[in-house]
Order: sequence, then structure tokens, then C-alpha cells
Amino acid sequence: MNSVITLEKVNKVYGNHHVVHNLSLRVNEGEFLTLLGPSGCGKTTTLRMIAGFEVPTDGAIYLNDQRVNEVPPYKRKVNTVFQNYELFPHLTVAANVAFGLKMKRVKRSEIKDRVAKMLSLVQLEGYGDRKPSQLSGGQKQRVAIARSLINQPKVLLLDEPLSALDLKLRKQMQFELKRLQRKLDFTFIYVTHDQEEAMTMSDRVAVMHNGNIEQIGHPRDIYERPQTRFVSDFIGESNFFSGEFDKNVDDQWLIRSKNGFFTVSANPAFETDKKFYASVRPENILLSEAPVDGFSISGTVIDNVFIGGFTRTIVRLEDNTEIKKTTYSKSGILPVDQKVYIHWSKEDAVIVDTEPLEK
Amino acid sequence: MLKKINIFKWFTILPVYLWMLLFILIPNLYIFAMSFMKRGIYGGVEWGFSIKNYIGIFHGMYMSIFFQSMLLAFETTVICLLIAYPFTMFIMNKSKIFQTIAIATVTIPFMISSLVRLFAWITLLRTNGVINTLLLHLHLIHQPLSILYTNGAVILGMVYMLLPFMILPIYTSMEKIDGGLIEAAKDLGARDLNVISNILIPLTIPGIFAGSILVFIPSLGYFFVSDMLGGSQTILIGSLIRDEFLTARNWPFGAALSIFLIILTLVVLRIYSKLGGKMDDLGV
Repeated sequence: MNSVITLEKVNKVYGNHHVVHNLSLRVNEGEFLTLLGPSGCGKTTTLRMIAGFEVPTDGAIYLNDQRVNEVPPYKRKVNTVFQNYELFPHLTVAANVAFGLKMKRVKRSEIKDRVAKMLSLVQLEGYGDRKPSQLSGGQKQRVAIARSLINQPKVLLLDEPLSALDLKLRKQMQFELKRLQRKLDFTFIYVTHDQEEAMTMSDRVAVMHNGNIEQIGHPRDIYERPQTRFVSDFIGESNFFSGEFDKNVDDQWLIRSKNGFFTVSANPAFETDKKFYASVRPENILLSEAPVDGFSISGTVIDNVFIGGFTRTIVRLEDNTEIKKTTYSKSGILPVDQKVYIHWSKEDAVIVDTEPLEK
Repeated sequence: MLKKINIFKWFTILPVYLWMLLFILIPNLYIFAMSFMKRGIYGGVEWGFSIKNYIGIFHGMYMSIFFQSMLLAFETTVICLLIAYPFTMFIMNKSKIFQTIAIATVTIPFMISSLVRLFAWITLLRTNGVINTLLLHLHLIHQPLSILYTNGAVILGMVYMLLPFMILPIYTSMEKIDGGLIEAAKDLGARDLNVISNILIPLTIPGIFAGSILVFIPSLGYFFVSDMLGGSQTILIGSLIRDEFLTARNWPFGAALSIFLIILTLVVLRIYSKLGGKMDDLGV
């Protein structure tokens, strides 16, 4: 697969603030890639460097194998959809969409055709003569997308484009964006702090933290096989269990924690003389009234919270840590004050971190 | 409680109304009435009604003064605009502190009497003034240039006096522009000049408009600038009115000229608001 955008050990420093740190990334042609992370993780700065609004302090950015570090935005075949739309308020919808072509001095008759085609693509036929102030948030968003796509950029950059919309509209636009991207076979780089948005739309998600990519992969891999404590905590909910390696039983590791034993699949990637941190998703936690082979962590049910489609059970362990378990069925919910044993299928626990043993 | 507030409100606002009544409305009405009367033999006015004063205005000589005055005001406005716009664009790219200092530098001189500042210009421009002395010493010229008492000197003085009234509204409207719009334009392929012509200027039209009005109208009436820097060379509407009152002692004709100037101003304002200008932007 060809990569459209390549970032090689890119750094961005403002004063003594290291915003992007040795970031490397390859974006494949036609893929929907999302940079996901909390605010201040450097995702927007990364996007702005790709767009040309910021110049990297160090490292290189390639657009189709051509180094573009210092190429100004107006010369890059890359377009951005901004968070606040940034539609030109003094121009009509049609003139907004036509702007890029006008800058390229495309013939007037051709501009007219292409604008009409673009407006129909984003389902805004008949809105050409309106001013942006006469549009709703969702319509403005479509104009912003049309205005960028008409230039046929090699990559479309989207900087939290849906964050100003209300929940329902946001979900609808997520769907439309994804459909548009598939239909046109464009490369999208999408920035968001909303993990659900990232999960729904992306072919690959890059989870960013402290100016670097912690993990990149298919949304399902990111969720099911988080590689770091940050990723497992940031994406969805996680229960963390930590302890020291005790012994290997049939390719499974028995780990000794403060609250008792638990078991994870053996992982040859790690040395065993470490303190291990394992993450287990709430839906994978199993509760039983009697201990299960390989597990001896016990606790007390302290609350059952009904949350629409599922119930969240909170179990307090002996050292007062609270464990979350979600149950999607109506049956099998244990009553409050019930003493329970915690276990899970071995493959559902993922080792996300290790620490050297304290001597 | 409500009533108390009302009394307090009236108590604070009343002086303003009284002031406006005494010093603005009544004098203007007085001038308006006077413009229909006859001149007294020894100055002053005689009662009676006539529109002779207004007919007198349309005499060729006065019309040419009006025309000359308007032309000068127009030139002043254009020059102010040509200086103020690039200046504002320049400071807009700087830090907030720099902007504040620059705007303060523009406005602070206006706390000094305008006469004093014009005298300073005279010392600079006159035959044996600073500029001529400097140029002579540098052997760039062999005879002093006559700069003072020319039309150019008057325009220079007008521009100097009125420039802040152009800069401030343009600055205000440029400050409101979302920086993201400029980034969006660049992202879509606009170079700097395209950004200026397609984004910056259309979005600062209110400021350009308001500034032009705020410069154009006063420059019709700033007779002291042409008196001090133009000598007898330039006669403007302002100087004409003053001369009618103080030298020719034809108060009713002076009054008619004043009313005519007011009407002219109102016409300009009317055009301004017809074109979409807002009175708020003028500070009215």
C-alpha cells in the first residue's frame, strides 16, 4: 500500500514546551485514520503541521514521498475542515465552495459545474445563494467539507469537525462522513478526543499521549489489546490488577496480588521477574460465589447501577479498590452485600505495563 | 423602590439633557433662524424673513470653494486610508502588547492642543525651518523649498490631525476577524495578496466606511488647519464661514453657509447608511 503522508520523528517545541515528541506515522492511501487523545496531547499540532500552519522543529513530513516541511499551506495539496467551520461570512455558500477553485483560476463555467456537483454530493442543492449565517450547524459543516473536497486534496484533514454539533446530529454526521469517505475513496486524517467517534469511523486509530503515539491499530485491536496502561484507561473502561509473577501453569501465569491470586495468558514478550499490571474490561469480569481455579480475589458487591442497556455492578475488594463489572442481561445480577469471587477468561486480561520488582 | 431608581436615573441624566439643550440644540436653532434674516449695518442681525442668503450660496465663487473643500476632504480621506490600512495590518500581526502600545502612540498626541501641534508643524515646514535647514546642510538643495503655505501642507496637516479617526475604526473591525478565516483561506490556496483582497478588505468594509466618514466630515470644517498651514492660499468652507462671521460681519450669510454644510454632512451620512454603514460604528 502506498503511504500518502509520512511523518518521520517529527518534533514540535514551543519555548520549553515539547508538544510533539519524535512522532512517526504512515498514512495509507484511502484510509480513515484518527488521531485520538485527550486535550493537550499534541494531536491538533500534528494536524496543523501536516496542513502547513506549523513548521516542525525537527523531523520530516512527506506528502507522496516529497518533503513538505516548509511548504506553505496554499501550495500543499492538503485541505482542512476546521473545528469552527471557518466559513467566509461575507460570501454565499456557492462562493465559499468555489473559493479554492477561484484561487487556482479555474474557468468560471467549470467552477459553476463543479460547485453544483459538490453541493449535491453533500445534499445542499438549492442552498448555493444563502449566506453561512442562514445555515444550521450541520449544514455549515457540510459546506465546510464541500469547500475542502472540491480541491481534490490528496488528504483531507478534519480537526474535531463535529464537536460543535449536538449529540444526535453528531451521530448522523459521523455516519455521513464515513459514507462520503468510502464513496470518494479519499484519505481522511481525523482529529478527535471522542473515542466513540474514533471507534465508529476509523480504519485505524492512533492513540496519542504526551506528544507521541501510544498505540496505533484497528479500533478493535486498540480496545481489546491495549498495549499501555494509558490506552486501556483512556479507551473505554478498565479494571487494573497488579502483582508479581508466582508460577507458570500450563502456559498460564499465576500472579500474586495484594488481594489474592489471578491468572493471565503467558506472554513471552515479558520477562517474569517483574511487577505486572493487567487490564480487564468491565464486561469481561466474571463473578461467582465460590473460588475458581487460578483465582482467589474476593470482594463484596456494594452497588448495582442500572444504566439503560446494562447494569454496572461495583465490587469492593479487601484493600478497598473498587472493581466495575457490566452485565447486559437481566438475570445473573448478584445482590448488594453478597460476598463474591472475581475471575475472567485468561485471554481477557491484557498485560499493559510492568515495573521492576522492589527489592 | 422602583420609583427611587427612576428619580435617581433622572437626576443623573438631566444635566446631560440640559447641556445638550443649552449648548447644542438652542444654538443650532438660533443659527437656523438667523440664516433667514438680514445682516445689520454694523454687524449683528435684523429681523425679517428672506431666503436671499441661501440663493447667495449658489454663486460661482462660493460653489468653487465648496468644491475645493470637498476635493481636499476627499484627498485627505484617501491618503488617511492608504496609511491607516497597511499600518493596522502591520500591527495586527504583532503581539497584543505591541498593538496596545501602537494604538496608544497614535491616540496620545491628541491629548495635546491641536494648535500647539500645528505650530510644531510650522517650525518643521517653514522656509528656515527644520526640514529646509537639514536639506540645505546636506547639500541636497540649494534654495529652501516652499513647503509651508501650500495645498500639500494643508493636506499634510489634515491627514496628521485625522489619521487616528481612520486607524481606530479599521483596527476595531480588523480585530474582530477570526484568525481561523485567514488560515482557511490560505489552506484553500490563497496567497497573501488574495487573502487581503478576498477576505481582509471585504470583512473590514464597516471600519473603512466609518473611518472615511469620520475623516471626511471634519476635514470639511477644520479651517484652522488651512489657516495655519495654508496661509491665504487655501480657502475652505470652514474658513469661509469663519470669515463671514468675524471679518465680513455678515452673520446671516455665515449662518446659511453653516446650515448648508450641515445639510451636506447629513447627505454624506445618508449615503453612508444607504450603503449599509452603521451609525454605531461612528460612535453616534
